Amino acid sequence: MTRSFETISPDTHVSFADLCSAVNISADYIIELIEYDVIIPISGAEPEEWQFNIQAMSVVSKAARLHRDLDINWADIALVLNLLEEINQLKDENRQLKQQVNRLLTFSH
Amino acid sequence: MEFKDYYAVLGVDADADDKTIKTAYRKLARQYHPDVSKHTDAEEKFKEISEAYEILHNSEKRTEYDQIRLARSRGYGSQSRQSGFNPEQDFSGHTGSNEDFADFFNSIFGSRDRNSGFQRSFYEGTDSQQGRPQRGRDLEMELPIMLEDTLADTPKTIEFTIPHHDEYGQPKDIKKSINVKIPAGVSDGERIRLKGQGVPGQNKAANGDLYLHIRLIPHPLFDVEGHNLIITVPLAPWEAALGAKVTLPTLSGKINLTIPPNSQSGKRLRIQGKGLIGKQGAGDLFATLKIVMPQKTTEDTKQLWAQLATQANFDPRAEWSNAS
Repeated sequence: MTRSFETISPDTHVSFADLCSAVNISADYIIELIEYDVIIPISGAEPEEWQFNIQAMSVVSKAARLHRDLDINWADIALVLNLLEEINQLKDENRQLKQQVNRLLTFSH
Repeated sequence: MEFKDYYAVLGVDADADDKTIKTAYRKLARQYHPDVSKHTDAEEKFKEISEAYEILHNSEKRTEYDQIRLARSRGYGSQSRQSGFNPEQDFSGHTGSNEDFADFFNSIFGSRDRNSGFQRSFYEGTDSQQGRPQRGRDLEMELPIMLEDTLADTPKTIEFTIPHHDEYGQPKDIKKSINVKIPAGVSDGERIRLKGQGVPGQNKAANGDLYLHIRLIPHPLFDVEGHNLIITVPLAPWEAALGAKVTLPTLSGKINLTIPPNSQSGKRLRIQGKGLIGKQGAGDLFATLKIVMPQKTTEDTKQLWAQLATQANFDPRAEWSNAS
């Protein structure tokens, strides 16, 4: 087993170049996703200075998979991702509310 | 190895034209794509569908596949002599595991297609395009974290296995164990990246990354709402009526909470800064009051309630009489 004893601090941001190479889709497509507000750079004015939060990486991977596997165009992907995100938020909220209602309604002595 | 009837997988006839195959694929892919599907076996089904489509929409591969299929149905294949060829059964019987599928795919098309389409992203490939630098795959794993561990940077030891094949294509997984500093304030669903800790790159290309998908373990007392925490505080009816001092657990030790007199059930009291750590400072802790009746009453207490009932002059359903 390979062991590494140093403690690694995780990255909090990724650069535009990192994003392109990790997801393996062309920079133009990523720019298109930015234009549709699917991902938003958290800092930097020019592409080479852009920084994204780590979450952007999985959003772009998902967009690339949907584009490749389902043949969906980028504008529609923006819509699909927004709706998926909304569904997830609603699911979370629903789960939280159910849990809270449960705590208010159950009695133990 | 089981024979895979790709026509049955896509639900089309063996003489289906390209358009029919494409339509069938799209319909099934939208239904089973792991990113959008609600089905529990979506990923497995999607692999089957993609693999079938990858072969059937390419005329060269389709011809090659059709020849093998034809040979089997005539009983030339060694396996068909044992089991007989029955595509319907293969399909409804859910065609075995993904490994079977991947094996079957490779048995026909070898590793030359390993880097195309879905194979790259969904299978642990041997990725054996000779000599060409190829970045290692990213890995993702779930990391359950206790709420208490999000209050400060917390070291965690993470053990994981990297799927790997040696130079002869034999599976030879790499087991790794690393220490990671989980930054304070991570939230549920957040991903953190460990650069270069994924699958090693080939031919001097960069390693893939490891993504840790943070999952907050549900706490027996606290619910999470953004960066705020919620705790339910059970109160006796007289505590709610008269007010009380309650010792309240928080994530970082106990505090005294003053319950004001005449508190309603469901009322929320805010304890500033005792929530989770957020990017913009700490969240708050909300104490939700819940009035609990004692389960057993003695004759004495019953009389006291009766006395209260006559003296309180309180109609909890006053709104009903106003509305009707």
